[in-house]
Amino acid sequence: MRNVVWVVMVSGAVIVGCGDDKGGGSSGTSGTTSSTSASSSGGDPQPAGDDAGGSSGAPAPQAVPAPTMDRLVKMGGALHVMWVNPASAACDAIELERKADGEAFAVAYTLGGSIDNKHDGQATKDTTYTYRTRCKVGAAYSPYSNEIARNPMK
Amino acid sequence: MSGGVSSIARLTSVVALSLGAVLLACGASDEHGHAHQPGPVVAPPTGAEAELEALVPVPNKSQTPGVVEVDLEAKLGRKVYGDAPETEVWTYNGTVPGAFLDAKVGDRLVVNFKNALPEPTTVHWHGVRLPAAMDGTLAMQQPVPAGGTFRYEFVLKDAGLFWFHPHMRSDIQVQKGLYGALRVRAASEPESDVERVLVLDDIKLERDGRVSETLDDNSRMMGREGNTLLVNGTSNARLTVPTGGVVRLRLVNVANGRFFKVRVPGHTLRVIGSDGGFVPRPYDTETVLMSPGERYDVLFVAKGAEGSEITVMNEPHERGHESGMRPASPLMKLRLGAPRATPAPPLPDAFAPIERLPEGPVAHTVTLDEKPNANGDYVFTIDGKTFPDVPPIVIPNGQVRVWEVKNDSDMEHPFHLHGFFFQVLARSGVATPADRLLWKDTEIVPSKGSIRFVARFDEPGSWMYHCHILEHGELGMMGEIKVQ
Repeated sequence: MRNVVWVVMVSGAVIVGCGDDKGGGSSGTSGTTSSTSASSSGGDPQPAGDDAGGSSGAPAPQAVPAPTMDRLVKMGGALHVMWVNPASAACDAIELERKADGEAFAVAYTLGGSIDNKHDGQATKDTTYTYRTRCKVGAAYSPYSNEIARNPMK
Repeated sequence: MSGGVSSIARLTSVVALSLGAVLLACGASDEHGHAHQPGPVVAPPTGAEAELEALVPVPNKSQTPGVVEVDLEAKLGRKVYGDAPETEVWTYNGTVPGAFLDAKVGDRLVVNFKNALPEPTTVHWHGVRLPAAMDGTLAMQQPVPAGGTFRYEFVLKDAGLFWFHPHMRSDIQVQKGLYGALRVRAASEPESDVERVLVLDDIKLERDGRVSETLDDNSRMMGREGNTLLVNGTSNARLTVPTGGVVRLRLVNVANGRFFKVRVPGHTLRVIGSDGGFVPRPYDTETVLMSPGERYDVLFVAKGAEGSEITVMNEPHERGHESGMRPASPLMKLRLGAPRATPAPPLPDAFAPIERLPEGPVAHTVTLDEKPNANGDYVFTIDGKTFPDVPPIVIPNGQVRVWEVKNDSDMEHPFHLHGFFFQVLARSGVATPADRLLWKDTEIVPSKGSIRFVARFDEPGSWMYHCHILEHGELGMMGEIKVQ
């Protein structure tokens, strides 16, 4: 798996994201490409305005910054995930996604917006688990965080 | 829609900034689950530097020699931490840290306590040998209700640095700011040019400035750790000391869960005291490790060029669950001021010996552990049980008893004994050198290790022992001793 950084322009707005080149989309995303799976809106393109704030005159929406994965600690035969939430945005919720070797990412936990860690008592097999998070603000999602991986048995 | 060069330049900037942010966020992890570009874990101190003045003692209301009488009110207050929005704090006498109490050994301390908080509380006198009814635990005292009062009164038998805090819902009440220092001066104190009591804490603030009460998985496991380090309630403290002068720092860790490992770069610290007063044989160290509740008393001669600054650091410490992977964090600054007029005197190398309690066979063994419950939440146990289901230990009044505290868990736990000092005889089977015997009331029990200690239980009543990671104590890692 390689990390891919992508840049797109939608109606004058710049959206930058990242994902793996397998395109392991999260649940709820409609596309299968890297860019779609890591969209800042979680698959639903965000409205974007021009310099004048779009045809409605409303300010252009701010892109939601992504959390940053910090550490993945072995704890009690399972894994404990820690990340850093974006300083510049108050998340309404945090989605923590997990995948085991050979599987696709799926949402494992939906957490309060200020939570920055989770003990994953289900990650107990002798396999490598990979995690990523994203921040939800209103209906918008941040890009996914970086990924972090570990085997709880090793 | 505007256009032209400015828009293109701005677009380029946006792309560059966004790309940079995402490149940071897209960093991969290594095989040990460590992100390559971890974000800040502890927010750096913010706001203007503040000179660290000496704590001002609460005025003594008594005119009677040998009596210190003070009013102590637990009440709501407001405080600004660095650049954060204003925070509602819980205070003793309106400040965080709370009221500073100062007395001499042998004084009778009278505290007229009033609870102006919206919920019940008590005041526990951490480390002070006193009658059990004055210890502020629910084993011996009804909670002081909102609007209620209580008179604490006891003789200060020992010199040293102590502190006080609630002993109910302590994880929340202490986190909100309810703690204060009690300094008890000895008949003779070592010479120093500057002495400061440093109350070490951290605080985790929500975006709106509220103190976080969230008990997430990390807080449950490690104790709440804040995102801002505090020295005497200040996130960016600076202490001016005379160049070449003798500096005395009296440290107390009042944090819920954080261990402090204090280092003054370029300086060796001479430890002259700990929980129970002066150590018989002071010793030198590069760092002072303090679990919650512990106190240390250190001296050093400030070295460097006049006008220069030294950043005092909190070094990483592995206390379990890979907590030692955190980076060092700045704690405060020392600014070297006008030089001392004469060379500094030698630092003390001896104090009065302490009574060595007789050793004997282990009379009581307790085992600390952690394990997930049926819901997957971790619980913290003593002998497999959580308080109040931990059977009390009964000891006849006046007995000297040897305890062994085992720790089967994957992390260190600070063991705190109320009402009595103890002497650590061995750590994980390694005997304590005779010249390192100290009076302690809080001691780190190593992960997968043990401590063996001896204490004289010579005050009747019910006394608590517990892990001083406050979340662990509140979640059940606590037991009771009945001295009768």
